Parts: sequence; structure tokens; C-alpha cells
Amino acid sequence: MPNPFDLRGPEFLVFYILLGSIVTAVAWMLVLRAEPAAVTIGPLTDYLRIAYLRGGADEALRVATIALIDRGLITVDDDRMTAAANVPAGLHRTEQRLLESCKDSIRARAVLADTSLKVTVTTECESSLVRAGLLPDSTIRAARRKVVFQAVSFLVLVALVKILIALSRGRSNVGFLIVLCIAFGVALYFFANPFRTRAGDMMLADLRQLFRGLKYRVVPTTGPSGGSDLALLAAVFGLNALPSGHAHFTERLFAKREAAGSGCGSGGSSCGSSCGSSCGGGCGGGCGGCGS
Amino acid sequence: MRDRVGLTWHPLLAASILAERERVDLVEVIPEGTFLESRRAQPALRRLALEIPVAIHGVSLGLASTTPVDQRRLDQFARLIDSVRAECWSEHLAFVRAGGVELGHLAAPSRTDTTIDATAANLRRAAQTIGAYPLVENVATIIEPPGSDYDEETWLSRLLATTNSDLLLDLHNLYANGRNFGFDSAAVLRSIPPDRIRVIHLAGGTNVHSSSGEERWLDDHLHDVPDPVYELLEIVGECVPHPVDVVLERDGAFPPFRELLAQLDRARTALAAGRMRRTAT
Repeated sequence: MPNPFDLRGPEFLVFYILLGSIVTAVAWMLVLRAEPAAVTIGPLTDYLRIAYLRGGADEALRVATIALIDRGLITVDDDRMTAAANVPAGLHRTEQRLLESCKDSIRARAVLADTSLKVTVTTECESSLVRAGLLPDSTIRAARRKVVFQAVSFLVLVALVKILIALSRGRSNVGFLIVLCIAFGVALYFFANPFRTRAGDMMLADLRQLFRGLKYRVVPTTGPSGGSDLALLAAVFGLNALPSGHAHFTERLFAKREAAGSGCGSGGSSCGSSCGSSCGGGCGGGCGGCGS
Repeated sequence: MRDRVGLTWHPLLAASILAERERVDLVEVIPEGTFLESRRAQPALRRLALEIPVAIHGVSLGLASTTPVDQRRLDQFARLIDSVRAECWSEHLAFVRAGGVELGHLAAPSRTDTTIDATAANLRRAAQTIGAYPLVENVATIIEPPGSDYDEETWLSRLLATTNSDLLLDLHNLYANGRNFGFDSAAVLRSIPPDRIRVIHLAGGTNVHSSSGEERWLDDHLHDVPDPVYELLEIVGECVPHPVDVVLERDGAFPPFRELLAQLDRARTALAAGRMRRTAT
């Protein structure tokens, strides 16, 4: 077998891509295998924590907003949301804060830009998910950093040796190799440092298995469902899994203003309005009609 | 220990069952179709079992058959029950295949000494593989099994005397058979050794007509539990000395979940009424 450091530039780049891919895959497997995979008690029906586990703070806020709309606690007019006057007891802290934010009508997108809301939902969800082993704690993060550091060090060392050999032979075209080295460093950081732990991934997979029937149970409603099925469906499978009326409404609700405006033109306002009110009380099919 | 009342697990009801966890004491899971075949799905059932007591209820073994039970299927059940750590497991006193043909149906066996011996042998084999005898469930039928030497009551009591398996007594099946073949289901219930009754099934059904115009009550699990079945449950509460698990079977045509919860509450009331009568006597 030839010495890889004697390979010519393009051949060495191919070799380096293969090597980098293997190192990234091995690092990813090492990270997964080092984390416990025991089935533990987790938030089986807490939609907010499930949404956070699946997609982080932004996704939890989106799902919480839809859950509050579904329960009739937020009404929607175009893309502006207003909290209902009477707030029931027993809400999540995040839900309470969301309703406070909507006391004066606000744009739905503002929810996702509100740092204090993100802090609230993170505080409410993250620590319990970390305690349950579903999100990485400091020990797991440190172990992941160690794997990433070792893998990156190895790839940098290989690149460095090749660069020194190339320079000693009077060649200076090492730019592609440096770019590749940086690219693998970034890839390693993301692959070997996933948002969830292995147990968190398993939890989500189990939830998708247990609640697979929700997609068929939640039907487009013409009024607030008042139940937990819709929130749980959105939390486990994402907002795209909602029935078409809800999904269309949600897409419009959180879409950038200019995108929504260009879609409906002057009619956008009336469409949004009818959609909002019917979804606030449950997104019917009228909204889809206007959008199409 | 106390009486517990629960539901059959169904993916369409999953969220509602867990949201009403305080009113659903246990769930019974039919593993065929998902959990039995897919090892990747089994951790989900294990996770469910951590949240709520889970019983496994098979429909595919065909234990009441002169054909030896399929060892491969038993191995699958053993893996599942071990992996999920289910509280108990049960199967039907029915055959589901014969001569290499899958019936797709729980068929009542001929009530003879031969089927008693064969069923007992299958139950022993199941217990050897899985480590515990299954509870065995009486089945509903709309025709008298041909070639029978015994009535249902005699066949069941002889079988229970032959095996270590206890009974999962389906009161709706008992009611349906009593209605279809003209026996007093309450009298048959009182004749069953009460110490062998461990779990109770409740369900609903509907009238069907045969091609000859005869009326039969079909156990379809798509309707509410009829009143006479609650009366049978009262008798269970009166006769059975130990706590029992009561499971409402509903496979489709689901009403709003609160109506299913109301049926669970009614079952609790009926059982409690029977317990009161027992205490009074």
C-alpha cells in the first residue's frame, strides 16, 4: 500500500475526504455508544417538554402558541394574536408568559423574537430534560468535547504533515486541504454534539410509536378542540403533521410578514382575518381557499 | 391490592389514555401487528409499562387447537414479555389456523376431551417458553362448534381442572353465547370456580342475521357495553374473593373519550355493588 503522504494533490484530497468521513462517523458512533440508552420515565404527555426535546426553545414556543390558540386562550386576527381575558389555572409557566405577552395584540413572529420567552421556556423545560438524561448534561458535553477534540486533532495533524511535506517539496497549493480540514472540524462539531442524547432520540422515537394514531385522531376542527391531542400531535411530529387546515394556518402565522403579504396581496388581510378567527377557534378550510 | 379498571390500548386513544392516567388503572395491549414483530417498537411499550401497568393479550397463538402451538410465535411472545416486563399475559381459548390456513378469526374449538388435552399441552408448552402460564379467555361464537361433546360450561371447567392457567373471563362473550344458545349466562358465571377468575373483559356487540334469518349477537367491540354485562360484573364482584382487573375492550367506532371513561366508572360502580353484596353476606 502506498504511503498516503506521497499521493499527489487531488488524490490526497480524495484520501482526506474519505479519512475525514470515517473519522466523523467513528466520532459520532463513539459519542452515541458512550451515552446511556436505558428506557427511563420521561415526559410522555407533557407537550411543551416534548416539543422542546424535539426542536428546542423556538419549536416549543411555536407549539405552545398553537396549543393556546386551539384552547381558545389566544385569538388571532391576521397575524396578530391577542390573549383571552380569562386565563384558567394550571397552565405552564411558559403559557402564562405567552399570554402576558399577548395581552396587547402582538405579531405571532414576535413570540419567536422575544428573548425573555425563550429564557422562560428553556428554564421550564431544559433542566428536567437534562435530569431525565434526554438532553446532555455537563458530563456528557465534556465527553463529547473530548471526542471532537481528539478527532479534530487527528485530522489537523494529518493535514499539517501533508502541508509540511508539500511545502518542503516546493509546492504551495494547500488551500483546498485547509478548507477541507476546517469543513471536517465544523462537521465533527455538529455530528458529535447533537442537541439530544441517545436516550432523548429513543424517547422521541418511542413517542412517535406510541402516538402514531394521533395523526388520525386529530381532525380539522371548526371550533377550539379544548383537548390535548392537537398540542401533543404538534409536539411529537411537528407542526407540519397537523391537519391541513391547522398546518396551513400555522405556516401563515409564523411566516415572515412580507412572504405572507405577497401571497394574498390585498386579499391577504381578509384571508388572514377569517383564518385567524376560525382557527382561533380552529382553522377551518376557508383559509386554505384564500391561500390557493 | 384493589380492583383495577382499564382499557385496551389503541393508538387512536393513546394520548387520551395517558392524559386521563388517574382514571385508567391499566392497559391491555394486543401486540400482534406492531410490538410483537418489531423489536424497534418494543422499547416504546416498555416505556408505556413504566407509566401504567401493561398486560399483553395475544390473538394469534391459537392455543385451543389440536395443532401444537408454533414455537417461533411463542419465542416472539417470550422476547416481548421479557422486554416489556408486562404484568401478565393472556390468550384466547380459540384456534386461528388449521391445515396451514390462517382463519383471520378466533374460532371456538370443538368441545371434546381431545381439545381439552391438546389445549392443556399447548398451555404447558407456552408456560415453558415464556415462564408463566397465560390467562385463558373464553371466546364468543355465533355457531355451536361442530363435533362437540360438551357444552361451554363443562368444557371450560374441565379445562381449568386440567391446567394451571387461570381465567380471563370475557363477560360479553359469556353474555353473547348465552343469548345465542339460550343458556343463563349468570348461572354459568356462578358455576365457574371464582378463585380461577383473574381478569374480566367487558365489550359491546350488535345483532346480526344469518342467511337463514336467525338472529345472533355478535361480539364486535364497536358498541357500548350492554346493561346485562354490568349485571354479570356485579356477580363477579360478589363471588370472586380477590381483586380483579377489569378491561373494557373497544377496537373502533370510538365515542368521545369521556364516554369511555363513563363506562369505566360504571364498571367500577357495578363491581363495588357486587363487593358490597359479598360483604353483606
